[in-house]
Parts: sequence; C-alpha cells; structure tokens
Amino acid sequence: MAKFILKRLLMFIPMVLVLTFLIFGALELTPGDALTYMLDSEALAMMPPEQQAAIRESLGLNDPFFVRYFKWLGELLGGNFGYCLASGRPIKAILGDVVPATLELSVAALLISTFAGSALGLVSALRRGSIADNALSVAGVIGLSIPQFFFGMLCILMFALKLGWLPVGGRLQPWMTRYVDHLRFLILPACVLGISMTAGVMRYSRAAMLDTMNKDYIKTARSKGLPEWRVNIVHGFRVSLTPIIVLVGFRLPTLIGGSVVIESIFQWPGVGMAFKKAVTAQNYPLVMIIALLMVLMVLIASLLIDMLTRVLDPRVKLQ
Amino acid sequence: MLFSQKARFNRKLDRMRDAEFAGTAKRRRVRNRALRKMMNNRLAMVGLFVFAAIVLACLFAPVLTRYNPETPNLKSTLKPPSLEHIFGTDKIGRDVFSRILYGGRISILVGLGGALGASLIGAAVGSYAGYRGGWFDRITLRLSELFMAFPQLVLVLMLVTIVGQSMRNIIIIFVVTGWGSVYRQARARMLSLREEEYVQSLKAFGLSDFRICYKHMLPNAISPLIVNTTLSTAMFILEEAALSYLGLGIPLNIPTWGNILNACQDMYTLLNGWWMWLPVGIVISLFVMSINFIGDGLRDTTDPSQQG
Repeated sequence: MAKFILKRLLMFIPMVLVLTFLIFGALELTPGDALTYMLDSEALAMMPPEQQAAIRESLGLNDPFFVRYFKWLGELLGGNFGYCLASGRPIKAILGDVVPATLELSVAALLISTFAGSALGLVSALRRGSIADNALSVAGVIGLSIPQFFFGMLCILMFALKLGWLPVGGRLQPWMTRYVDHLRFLILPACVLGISMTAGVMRYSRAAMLDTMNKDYIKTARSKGLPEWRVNIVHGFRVSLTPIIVLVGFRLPTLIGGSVVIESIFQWPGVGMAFKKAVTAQNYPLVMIIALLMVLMVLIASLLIDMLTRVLDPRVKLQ
Repeated sequence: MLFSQKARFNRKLDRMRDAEFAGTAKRRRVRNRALRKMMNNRLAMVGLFVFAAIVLACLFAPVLTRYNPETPNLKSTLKPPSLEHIFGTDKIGRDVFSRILYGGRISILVGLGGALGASLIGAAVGSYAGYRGGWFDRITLRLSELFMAFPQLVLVLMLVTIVGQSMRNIIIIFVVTGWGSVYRQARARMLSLREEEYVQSLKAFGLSDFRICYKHMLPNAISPLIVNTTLSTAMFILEEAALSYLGLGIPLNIPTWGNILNACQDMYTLLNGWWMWLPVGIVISLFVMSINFIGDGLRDTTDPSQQG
C-alpha cells in the first residue's frame, strides 16, 4: 500500500510541474507584462523608455524565462497568487469570497443528483426492460440533450417570473438575517444544476447495478431465501454504490469549475461567475490562477480516489 | 419470457448454421444485419429523421425563408409570430426563423467540424501510439491526461482568452480539447488488437508499420470511434451554444444558435418575448437529442457488449 501511494505521488508531482509550467507559459503569451498592468496606459505612454527599461530590470522582468518561472512557482507555494487586473485586489482574497458560494451550490447539486440519479438508476435496473425502464432511459437522453442554460431559462420563467415562488437570481442580500431567506436563493440554481446532472448519474448507476445483479453472490443471497428487497438493496445496491461514489468524487472538482453557465444565469457570485467575468474582461492572471486551481483539484481528487478504490476493492490489493 | 427469447435465439442460430452448410451464407448478409438492427431501433430511426430534417432545413434555408438573417428592419421589431414571420422578429427586427436556419448552419458546422477534427487526430495518434508503444505512447498518454484533467469548459474558456474569439479558433479549440477521449479509445483498442495473429503475420510479411497500423488494424477499431464522434458532435454543439450564450463563443455578429439565445438573457425578453428564445432552445435540444439517439443506436448495433 505504501509503495502504491508513493508511486502514485511520484506520478502526481511531474504532472503538477508541467501544468504550472504551461499556465506560466500561457500567462507569458498573453499581451502585456507586469509594468503595463501596474500603470495605466496614459502614464505608460508618458514615461521615457529608459525609465521603463529600468523598472523592468528592477522588477526582474528581464530575467531568463526559467528563472522567472521558478520565482513565480515559489510565490505560488507561499500562497501569493498574484493580483487581479481589474480591481488590484490579491487573487487570494477574491478566491476567499467566491469559493464558499460555489461550494454551497455544488454540494447541494451533487446531493440532489446523487440521490435522484442512483435511486432512478436502481429502479430502472431492477425493472429492466419494463415501460418504466424505457421511459427513464429516454428521459435520460433528453436530460443529457437539453442545454443547461435553456433549462435554467425555462425554470426562471416558470418558478420565478410566472409563479413568483423563488427569486430570479443572486445569493446574499443585505437585509437577510435568517438562513431560511438565504435558502430560497439556493433552491432554483441547485435544482437546475442537480437535475441536469441526474441523467448522467442515472445511466451510470443503472449500468453498475445491472453489472452487480449478474454476480454470483446475488444468486447465493437469493438461494439462501432472503427476501427480494434485501437481496436488491443490501446485497446488490450497496456494492454498486462504490463506483457511484467514485463518480461523485470525480464530479465535485469538475462541478466547481463547470458551474460557469449556471452561475452566470442565476447571478450566483461563485468561482464560475468570477471565471466568466475574468475571461470577458481579459483578466489574464485571474483566469490562469482559477484554471490552475481547478486542475489541481481534479488531480488531487483522482489521487484520493485511486487510493480509495484501492482500499475498497480487495482484488486490486491482491495483485 | 426469458424462455421464448432463448428459443428464438436458438432458431436463429439453427438458421445461420443451415445457411452455412448450404453455402449460402454471405458477407453481405452480416452487414445487412447491422443495418437491420439499426432500422429496428425505433429511437435511432426517429433521431435520424429529426437530424435529417433539421440539417436539410438549414441547408435549404434560402428556399425556406426570404429574409436575410442579418439585416435589421427597424419598422417591425419585437413582432410576435405571424404568417409573415413564423417565429416573429427580434429586438432589431430580424426574422427569428431565418436566424435559426442560418444559425444552424454555423452551429452544426462548428460541432461537426470540431468532432471530426478531434476524432481524426485522436484516432491517428491513438492507433499509432497503441500499436507502437514506447516513448511515443508514453508522451502522448501523458499529454492526453493533461488535457483531460481540465474541466472541459474551463479549458475551452482559457484557450479562448489566449487565442481570441472567432469561428475558426472555436473549432480549433474544440479539436485541441476533444482529441483525448478518442485517443484513449483508439489506443485501448489497438493495444488488444496488436496481439492478434493476423498482425503478427503481417509483420512477418514485412509490411511497414504505417500500413499495418492504419490499413489493416484501424478498420477493426473504427466502430466505437464512430460512435464517439457522433456523441462528441452533440457535446460540441451544446458547448458552442453555452459559450456563445455567455458571449464568449462565436462573435456576436454571426448568427448561431447560441448567439440567438445570447440576446435573450434579460428578464423582459424572457417573460414577454418567448418566440425569440423558446424555438431556438427547442431546436438545439431536439437536434442534440437526435444525435444522441443515433449514437446510442449505433453503439447498440456495433458493440454487442454494451447492450443492456
């Protein structure tokens, strides 16, 4: 086990190095450098070229590429992610504002999609070939095909504009003191995101469940005379939950980045929204740092999941 | 029920064996079977019909509508659907129906172009990597892992900030971000194929690696790749729509399905101008759905292990 973890970690580190290198290279490719970021264009135009060159030299902008890369990497490790071009605030502070909002939304959506998806997948696997199964399969494809934002627009029109049950968008309002007020803002985006993800989870859990139902130990459980529900739920479903949990684990980091669309529709002030705004405003440092953090999360998640499956599945351990 | 299925299956096998003994079994019949299976898949046929209808409508847009999708007509803005304008007009008086048709051309082109490009590169690199192994395989495998670690939309948006927005750039970005999944599929398939005897014998005959790989092995790995291409076409069309909806995809002056929806983000339009966004959204959903049904149908006919 220790050897496995060590080996996996050794694979992880070069990956991260290459990634940071690519991100730094991309930052270099984007127009402008630290000097043009710090001064507005008018001041820059007035400044004599010698002075500009002197400042560049003093900032270390003339150092060779690799020297600057390692300096930047050191800063990154020390927790200095650089500064936002639009507001001049440290990127760390901006992330501190947006990450909690996104976590709240993603966890809610993940819960909805996991419960609904695995339950529907279970039903559809148990009633394989029935009308319910076919209807769910078709519904699943329809769910995969409707654009998320279109679904969001329909829901806003229905529940916020026509019926007036829920707010159109936003998250925290100044007058809100109770959490219940706050919850009303969460319901619509979380449901839209959760439901649009349910189809994928459902397909997956149906396949996992069908796979489990063909195993010998299910036959054994049945031949022992256990009641059917016990065979299905305790012996079948519990086992097929493992791949579902792995899938969910992979989903969380992707979700945090992937909710760009939903967050923009509902004006949810999270990472996705900040990312979208940064891309629109060509705010390069913020774009790259957010992208880097998202990839890091995916990589760390896959690292943990590899270890988890190794622990959960004894057959992997034997080899 | 299970019994009758089994009996039917047995009868089918008997018939096949008889045909074989009588010497009437032909290759053509096998190919027909795949086709027949596809024809029997009702959802796939409905999908094919919807797909063809939408593609043809977009191709023959000039016949179906006399309005130019880009010329504004300030005398008739925000008109609800009528006989003159089937889906009404938008905020600056452009005919929504013609925008959907002409926009479909671009959206479908971008989705299909991205998927085909990604598949070509993925299949070419993946099959050679799987066949040859060695350093080429190791490097390309790491590269694909790197690309697939990014959440798709984030990588696309990141590349958009670097190279800028244009139709060509979006297609290139789709190719760059999408080749990984085809690569992995092709590679995995080739890894198992290269152990087959016919490959060994071709090698013994001294055929060149390229010839063995692309002419003799790739055709045996192609059907899952085709399914993958269909499904990624659907994905790219959704992605283009999402990108353009956010205002970060195809430049706004070109009509595409996403760009039509981009103009309908405000609550006023949402509530009072349903004709501007509802038909487009339905067309996108129907089109993507039809591709998904076709893809699922193709997979069921070509890959018996995936059924269930």
